[in-house]
Amino acid sequence: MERSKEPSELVPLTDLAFNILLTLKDAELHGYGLLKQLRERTGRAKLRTGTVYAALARLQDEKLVEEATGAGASDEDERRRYYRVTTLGLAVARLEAQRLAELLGMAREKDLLRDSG
Amino acid sequence: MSRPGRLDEEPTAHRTARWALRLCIAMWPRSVRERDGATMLATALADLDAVDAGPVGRIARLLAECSSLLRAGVMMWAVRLSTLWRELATGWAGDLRVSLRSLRRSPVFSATVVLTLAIGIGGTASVLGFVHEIFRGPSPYAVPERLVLVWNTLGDDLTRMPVAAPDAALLRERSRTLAGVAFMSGTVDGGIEAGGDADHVRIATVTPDFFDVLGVTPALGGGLVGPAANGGTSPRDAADQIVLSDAIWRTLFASDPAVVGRSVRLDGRSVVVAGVLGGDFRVELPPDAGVAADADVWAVLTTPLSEVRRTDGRRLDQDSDNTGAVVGRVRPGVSLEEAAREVSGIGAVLQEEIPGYALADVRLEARPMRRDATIHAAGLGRSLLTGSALLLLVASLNVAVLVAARAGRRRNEYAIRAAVGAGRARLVRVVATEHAALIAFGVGCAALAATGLMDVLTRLAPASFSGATGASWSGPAFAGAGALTAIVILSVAAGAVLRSGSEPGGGVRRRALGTAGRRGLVLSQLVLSVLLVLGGAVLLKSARALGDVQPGFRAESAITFSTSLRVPGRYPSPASRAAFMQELTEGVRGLPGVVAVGLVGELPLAGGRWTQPYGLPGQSEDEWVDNRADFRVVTSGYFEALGVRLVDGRAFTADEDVNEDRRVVVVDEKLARRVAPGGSAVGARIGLPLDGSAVIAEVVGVVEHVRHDALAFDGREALYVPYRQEASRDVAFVVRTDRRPEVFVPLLRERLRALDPQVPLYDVRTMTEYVDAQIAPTRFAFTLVGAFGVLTLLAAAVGLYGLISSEITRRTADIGLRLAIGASASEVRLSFLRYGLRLGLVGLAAGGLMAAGVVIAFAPWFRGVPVFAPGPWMTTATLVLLVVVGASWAPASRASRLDPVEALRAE
Repeated sequence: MERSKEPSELVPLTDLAFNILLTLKDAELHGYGLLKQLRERTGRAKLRTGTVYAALARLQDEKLVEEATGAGASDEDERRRYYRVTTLGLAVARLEAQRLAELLGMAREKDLLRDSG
Repeated sequence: MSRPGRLDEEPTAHRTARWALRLCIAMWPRSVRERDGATMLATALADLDAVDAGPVGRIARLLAECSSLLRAGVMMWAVRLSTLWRELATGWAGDLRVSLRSLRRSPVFSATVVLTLAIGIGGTASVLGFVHEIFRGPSPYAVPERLVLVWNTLGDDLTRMPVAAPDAALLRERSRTLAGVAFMSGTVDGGIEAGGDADHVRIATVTPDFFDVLGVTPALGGGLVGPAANGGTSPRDAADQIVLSDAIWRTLFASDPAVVGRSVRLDGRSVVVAGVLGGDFRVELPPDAGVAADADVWAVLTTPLSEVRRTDGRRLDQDSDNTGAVVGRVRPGVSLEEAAREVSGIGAVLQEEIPGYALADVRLEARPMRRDATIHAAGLGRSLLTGSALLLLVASLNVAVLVAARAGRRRNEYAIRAAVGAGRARLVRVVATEHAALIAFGVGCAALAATGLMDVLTRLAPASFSGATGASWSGPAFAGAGALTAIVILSVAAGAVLRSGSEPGGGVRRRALGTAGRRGLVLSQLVLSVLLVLGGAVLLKSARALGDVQPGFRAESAITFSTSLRVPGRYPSPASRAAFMQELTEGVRGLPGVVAVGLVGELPLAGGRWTQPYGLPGQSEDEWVDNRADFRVVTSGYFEALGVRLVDGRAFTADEDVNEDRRVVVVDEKLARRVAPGGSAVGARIGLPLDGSAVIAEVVGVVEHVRHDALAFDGREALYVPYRQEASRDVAFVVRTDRRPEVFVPLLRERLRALDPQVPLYDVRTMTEYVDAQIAPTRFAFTLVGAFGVLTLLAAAVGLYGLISSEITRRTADIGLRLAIGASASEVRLSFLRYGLRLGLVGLAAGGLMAAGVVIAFAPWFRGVPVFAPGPWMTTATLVLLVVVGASWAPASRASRLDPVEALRAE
C-alpha cells in the first residue's frame, strides 16, 4: 500500500514540470494543445512530444496531474486525452512558486536584479 | 489545424511516420504506454502535420520527434530501475532479522536443513576434491599430457610387464614420434655413505636423460647431465652422478644446500651429488606393473642402455633384472594415438627380428602416463563419483521437500502478508533471505565438514593413492555442489510463494503439493535410500569378506626383515652368500622365542615378482616358455616360519641348504595338479632353465598355494628351489616368534652386527602388515562407499521423517474430526501407523526390485561379492521401516492427544 507523498516532498520541480502545472492550471488541455502552449510560454520551439510526455508521465505517477473526465473530453477525437492539475498538483505548484519567490527575494537582497531590472 | 488535403496527398509518408513513432513509443514502460500511448502518438502526428516545410524538413522533424521519444523512454526506464534497486537494496537488515527469528521458531526444520546440506555438500565436495587430486591433480612433470609409459602388455589391459633395457634402446633409436625415451629400473636396496656410516637407501638406476624427458628440474643443482654444479669442477661423466630425493636430503644430509657437488659412496663406488629434487617429485608408475618406484637416490646407468645385460649375460628374459619402466615424451604436433601406433609397430618388428624375443604373446604398448598410473583407481573413482552424486541428489531432494512442505504450511502467512499489501517481490525477497541464510549456514557447516573429511580421507588413503596426499577439497567442486542445492531450494521456495501470491485469497487453503505428489516424493525417497543403503551394506560386507581371504600362509606371529649382501668386494660367490645366510639363520634361531626361521628371495605380497618358465614331464624345451610359475629361492625353515602347510612329501632339509649334489624342488598344489593330475607329484621331474641351461629337478614336496602377487587374485602356480641354487644378494627373512617386534628387533640387529656390521637390516615388518597393506586399498574403497551409504541413509532418514511427519501434521484436522466422532486415540494412532507402513512397504518393495535390477545389470562389477546375502537386505529393510514407523508414530500420537476442537482448528 503506497502512502501518498506530502507536497513538500515533491519540490523542487523541474522547469518543465512547473511549466506544465502552470499551463494546466487554467485550462484542461490535450497533449498537442499542451505542447503548443508550452512552446509559446517557454519559447522553446524545439520542445518535442517525447520530452513533454515523459514529464507528464512522471507528474501523473506522482498524482500531480490527472486525466480530465467530463466537460472537455470526448468532443473532437477520442484518442485525445485531456489533462488537468490535481489538488495535490496545485499545492505543489504553489510551494514551488513560493520557493522560487524566496529565491528571487534573496537574489534581490544580493542586488543581483538591480543592474538588469 | 490539421490539413486533410496533405494527408490525402501523402498517405504513404504519413503511414511511415506513424509506424516509426509507434516503434519509438513501444520502447516506453508498459504502464505509461498503455495510459498515454495513443494520445502521445496523436500529439506527435498533429505536431508533424503542423510543420510547414518541404519533405526534407518534415523528415528531419520526424527524426527529431523519434529521438526525443526514444531518449525519454530510456530515461524513464533508468528512473524505474534505480527506484526498484533502491527498494530492493534497503530493508535487507530488517528482512534478515525477520528471517532469523522465523528460523529460530522452527529449530528442527532449520537444523535438519543445515545438517543435510553439511552432509550432502561437504561429503560430495571432499570426495570430488579427493578424486580430482588423484586423476587431475597437479603433476610434478612439465607438459605431463605428452608423456607416455611403454610396457610389454599381455592381452588384457591390466597386465603390464616392464620392458628390457635393450628394447628401450631400440625403441629410442627407431621412434620418430617420441622426442625422448628414458628408462628407469625398478628400485633396489643399497647403501650410501656420506662420511661415516652406511645408510640403507632405495636406488633407481636411470638413463641420464630421465629428468629431461619428464621435464623436471631439480630444486638444487643442475641435474644429471652436464657439469657437476657448485664447486666449478670440470665436467664429470654423467655416470658418476646421482640425484637425491627431498626426503633423503633432509634426513641423511640435514638439508645441507652444500651437498650438491659433494662426493659420496653409493654401494661402494664414488659418486657426486648432482642435484636434489623438489619435495613434490614422485615417479608416477602403476603400482601393479612390477617396477618399484619408491626411490631415494637416482643413479645413472653405468653401461649404455643397449648393453644392459642380466648378470649371466642373457638378454631376453622379461622378468629379469635388466627391465624397467620406459617413459617417452611425444613430439609436439604428434598425437598420442600416432605415437602409440608407432610404438606397437616397433614392438611387432622387434618380435620378428629377435628370435625368442618374447616368452608369451606380448605387445609393446605406449599409454598416456597419468592415466596408466591411476587406472587401478579408476573403478574406485567412478563408484565414489556415483556415490557422491547420489548423496547430493538425495540431500537436495530432502531439502527441497522440507522447504516445500514448510512453504505449504506457511501458505496462510504468505497469503495474509499479501493481503495486507506486501508486494510479490517483497514476499519473494523475505523468503529468499530466509533461505539464503539457511544456505549460508549449511554451506559454512559443509565447508567445515569437507575440511574434516578431506583430512580423514588423506590420512586413510593407502599408499597406492599417494597422488592424493595434500589434496584439498577443490573450490569449483564445492561451489558447484553448493550452487546446485541453493538453486533447488530457492526455486522451490520462490515457486511456492509465487503461487500463493498470485491468488491472495485462494492461497490460504491450498496445499503446496497434491497428495499424489507428496506420496510420489516419499516413495522416490524411499527407493533411493533403499538402493544406497543396500549398496553400502553389500560393499561393507564384501570388504569384511576380503579380510577373510586365506593368503596361503599364517601371517600372525611372523616378523620379516630384509638384508642385502652388496658389500663391495665381499660375498662374490653363491657359496659364500649361502654360507653367510646359513650363519645368520642359525644366529636368529638362537634368539629367545624363535620357533622357526627361513629366508626367501621375494616375500609374498611385498610387490616383487620373480617368475620362471618350467618344463612338465614329456614337454620339449620349446614348450617350456608357455609355462610360467612364481619362482622362489628358500631355505629349509621357510615354510614352517611363514606357516605354509606341507601337503605332500617333505620340505627342504638343512642338508639341501648347503649341499647341491641333487637338484630338488618343492611345488605348490596348483603346480602339483599340473605335474601329476589326480596323483602324487612327489618324485616327478620338472625341467628348469637355470644358469643358462636346462636342469631337471625332482619334486620332493607339495605345499599349499600362496597368493604371491595380490591377496585379491589367486595367482599362478609356484615352485621353490633351495636358496643355494640361485643365491641372490637381496633376501628377506621370515621369523616365527612369540615375541613382540619391538622386543625382538633390537636383539636381531645385535646378532647381525656381530656377524658383519656392514650388512644392512631394513624393511622390518610383520607379515600382518603386508596383508593389511594389500587389503587397505580395497578396504578403503569399500569403507568410503559404505560410508556414503550410511550418510545417505542419514540424509534419507531425516528427509523421510520430515516428509511423513509433515504429511501427518497436515492431517491433524482429520484426526480431530475422527476424535470428535468418537474414535479412540489408539485407533487414530494405529490408522496413521498403517498409513506410514503402507508407504514404507511399497517403497521397500520398489526399492528392492530396483536394487536387484542394478545388481544383476552390474553383475561383473560385483564379482565375488555376496550381493544376495540376506544380511544387508534385512538390515536395510529394518532400518527403513524403523524410520517410517518413527516418523508416523510421533506426530500421530501428538495429534491424538489433542482436544478434538483444537485439532479441528489446526487447519
